Amino acid sequence: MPTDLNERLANYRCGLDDAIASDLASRPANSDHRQPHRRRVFAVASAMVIVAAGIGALAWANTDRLTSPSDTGPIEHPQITIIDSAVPVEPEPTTAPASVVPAPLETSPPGAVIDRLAIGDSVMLGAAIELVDFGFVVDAVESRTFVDGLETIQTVNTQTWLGDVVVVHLGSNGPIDDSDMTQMMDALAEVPQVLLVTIDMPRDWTMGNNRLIYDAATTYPNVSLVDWAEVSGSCPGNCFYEDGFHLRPDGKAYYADLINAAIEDN
Amino acid sequence: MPYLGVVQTEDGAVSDSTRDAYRAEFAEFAADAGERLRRVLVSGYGVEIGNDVCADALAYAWEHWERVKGLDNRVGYLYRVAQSSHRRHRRWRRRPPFPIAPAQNSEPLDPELGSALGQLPRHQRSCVMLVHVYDWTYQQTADALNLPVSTVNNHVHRGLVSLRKALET
Repeated sequence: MPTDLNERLANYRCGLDDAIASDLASRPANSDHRQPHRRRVFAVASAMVIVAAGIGALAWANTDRLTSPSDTGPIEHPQITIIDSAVPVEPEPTTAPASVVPAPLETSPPGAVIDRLAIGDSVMLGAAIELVDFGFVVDAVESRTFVDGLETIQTVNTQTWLGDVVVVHLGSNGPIDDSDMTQMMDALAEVPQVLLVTIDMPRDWTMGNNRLIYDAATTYPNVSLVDWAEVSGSCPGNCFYEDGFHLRPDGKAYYADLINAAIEDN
Repeated sequence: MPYLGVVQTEDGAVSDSTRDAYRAEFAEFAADAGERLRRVLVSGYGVEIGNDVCADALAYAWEHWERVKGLDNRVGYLYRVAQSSHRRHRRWRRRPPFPIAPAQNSEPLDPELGSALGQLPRHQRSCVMLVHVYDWTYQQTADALNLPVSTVNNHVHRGLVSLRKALET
């Protein structure tokens, strides 16, 4: 095996071309090129949606706006329900299109665990579908504050639903209090991999909030960082709406790729 | 079969020679630009999804051939079509499935490299693979991905740095 990276990349071509040809050859002629189990996954998954509304609300509903990850067959992931009795809140209009339709369900199976949870506000909401594509369950709500997100995490933690990965992108809608950050870290203490995302928004509290996020990433061993404030400017293409922070399609893909890469790198 | 723009007889029928010419023209396109498009899509989405969305994009080209054939950058245009199609091909996978074992009777693969490529952000992966696996120029890569050459340059550089780091550990 050559050690030079360029040589390894050049040598990768033949095997990759064979794999492409093999995949094409395995597809039945004159038929839908998608394999049956994939169509089933698509049919099942497109009928499902993650819905988030109000404080502590996580829900699934029957629209195709947000969906659950699953490799094959019927979706095995639990339906996640409204945890408290908060009335679903209609998202406030913004320049970015809303991607979540509040629609609470009523029941939840016991023992459910969310392997990859991403919790955020309207910035994350823009990339919700892309994150779901990477296997995340996304709970993103417009105008959500850090405290709102904290209460959601605490509620989910109480239900022992937290799994291996939690991504938190909050702080765009108001200053974060030191004690709230501490409580958030306490709630996530048992999660093996917590990813905090800095905010990139022209607000008075941006610098202070990001400083708290940097501190948390260096203080807690299970916490790592995506410095969105640093890297968002490198997003290729037309990434943002006129407000400069809500995500257009190029930005959504970039945002989700960054978060997924950060998770995979760790 | 679409006949838009194809000369029909007075009774509306399409002659065999016209149909054959139409098919031959498209087949020539599919064999050349279609295969370049496939490489772009496989580099971004992996083998299975890349083949899926390439089939969708070529089907679109077939249905809209009169329009597509007149475009200067057909691969770039169909790449956008395929990106839209990709939304319908979600696999709920955490990374693009590059093969880790060679297909039967095929060339050996570098599984570590395939895994490392799969972990790169999609645009970085596409740029690295088109430039260094398929030996495209930066301009060809930029045209196909509808990106500025400078952006391709950045993606290639960052992608290679990430790959080296991943393969060293």
